[in-house]
Amino acid sequence: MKVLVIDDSKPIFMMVSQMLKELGHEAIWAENGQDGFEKVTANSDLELVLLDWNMPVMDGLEFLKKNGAESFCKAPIVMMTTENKPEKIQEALKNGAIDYIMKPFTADILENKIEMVCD
Amino acid sequence: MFFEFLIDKLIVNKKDLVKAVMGQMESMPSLIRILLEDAILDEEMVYELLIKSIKENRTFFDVLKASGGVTEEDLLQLLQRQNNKSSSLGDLLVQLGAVERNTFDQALRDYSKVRSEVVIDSAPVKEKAVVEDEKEEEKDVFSPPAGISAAALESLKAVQGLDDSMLSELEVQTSEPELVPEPRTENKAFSFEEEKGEEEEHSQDIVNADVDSIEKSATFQEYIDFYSEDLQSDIFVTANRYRIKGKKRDLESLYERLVKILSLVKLNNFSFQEKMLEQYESYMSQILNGIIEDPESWRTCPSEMFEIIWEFRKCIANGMSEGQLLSDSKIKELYLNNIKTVLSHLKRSA
Repeated sequence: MKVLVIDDSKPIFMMVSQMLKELGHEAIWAENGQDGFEKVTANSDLELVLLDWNMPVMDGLEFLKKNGAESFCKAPIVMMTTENKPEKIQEALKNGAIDYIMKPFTADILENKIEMVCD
Repeated sequence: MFFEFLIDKLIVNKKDLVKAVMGQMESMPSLIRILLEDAILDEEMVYELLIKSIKENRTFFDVLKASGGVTEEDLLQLLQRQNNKSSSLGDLLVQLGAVERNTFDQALRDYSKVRSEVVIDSAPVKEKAVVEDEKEEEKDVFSPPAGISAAALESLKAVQGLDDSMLSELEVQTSEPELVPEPRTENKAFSFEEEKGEEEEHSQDIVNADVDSIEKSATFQEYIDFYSEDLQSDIFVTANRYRIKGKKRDLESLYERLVKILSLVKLNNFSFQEKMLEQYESYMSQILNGIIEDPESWRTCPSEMFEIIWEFRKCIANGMSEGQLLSDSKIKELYLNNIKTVLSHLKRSA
């Protein structure tokens, strides 16, 4: 499964990428929402997007809103966040995210989340 | 005390406050009126008791009590209802133009915060410990709830296919004086002090009151602790996933949480939440037991319902009552519409 990881932190991408690789998936990286939009457009076979909340240029919520308006991404979007306030989570869900995953997470948690979302 | 808080913070002046208190007293119906309106006594019985009280030079309620018509407990309840039927201090102050509604509401929240800063004495309860009686104060802090307006209830009734008995029940529930929620533990101002030389009976009452308060605050705390932000975030995600995918396991997960929240809501007498959650419990259990199909049109309802229930939870944690939340017309509309939808589905499934 091809997974797009949109996160401005390269170390985080590398860590998530390693987890995804162990789980048998392929990871590609975008460093912000705008870059993510371009990667989504260029990769029509994406099956999952892991999206960070706080990023420069275009943050996670802006990415969701843009997708809500333009529907460029058909793959389910999971927010990666350190924020667990219900209101924030609800805001992300209302804008099109299907789930969220709390940072930091382990490979087991990620696997479980992928199963829940992609099942 | 809330009166003093309003004066000290220069939110209202003494003159307006006294006017509002007088207005509150004037708006308070007489106990005889309540007895008649609530059909506890009819006119003939009231007349006979009045004549007897005049002849025997006793108060009406002494005669009533002596007649065995009402108990001491009934009288206390009547007094409580009398108090709840009077206008709220906040409404009166706003009507008088003494304060803006927003300012008054903010003052209520500020006062709740001030109260929450009172340090709890967590020492074990002593046999003669005294719980500071703040009931009078609570009445000032938590003005009678706005509840659901008659018009809103009428519109709810008008919805096609609703169960009349269920709606009557809701109507009664919303017109009854609302139980003021127990403030969270840290809000409770306990004052433990030694009372030497008091009569045995009195100290036993105190101990009972103490135990009762502690039990209530324990169930309240359990509700707050269980229904945490983490849980709500998870519920939102599960409800969202259920809305999109309609998976049974997500519905099961929502149901399990709902049942636990419902039990805590019941223990705390949060009647508006209870009414809503009960309908969902009934409908979801029918789906999970395979009695009815899971209609796709219904799948958005749990998410909306939990959004409303979470609003209740947040307000209650901040020392507000359910009624105060429902005085927000947007929330009230969401609440009524959501109940209306689930009742329609229940009706159809029946």
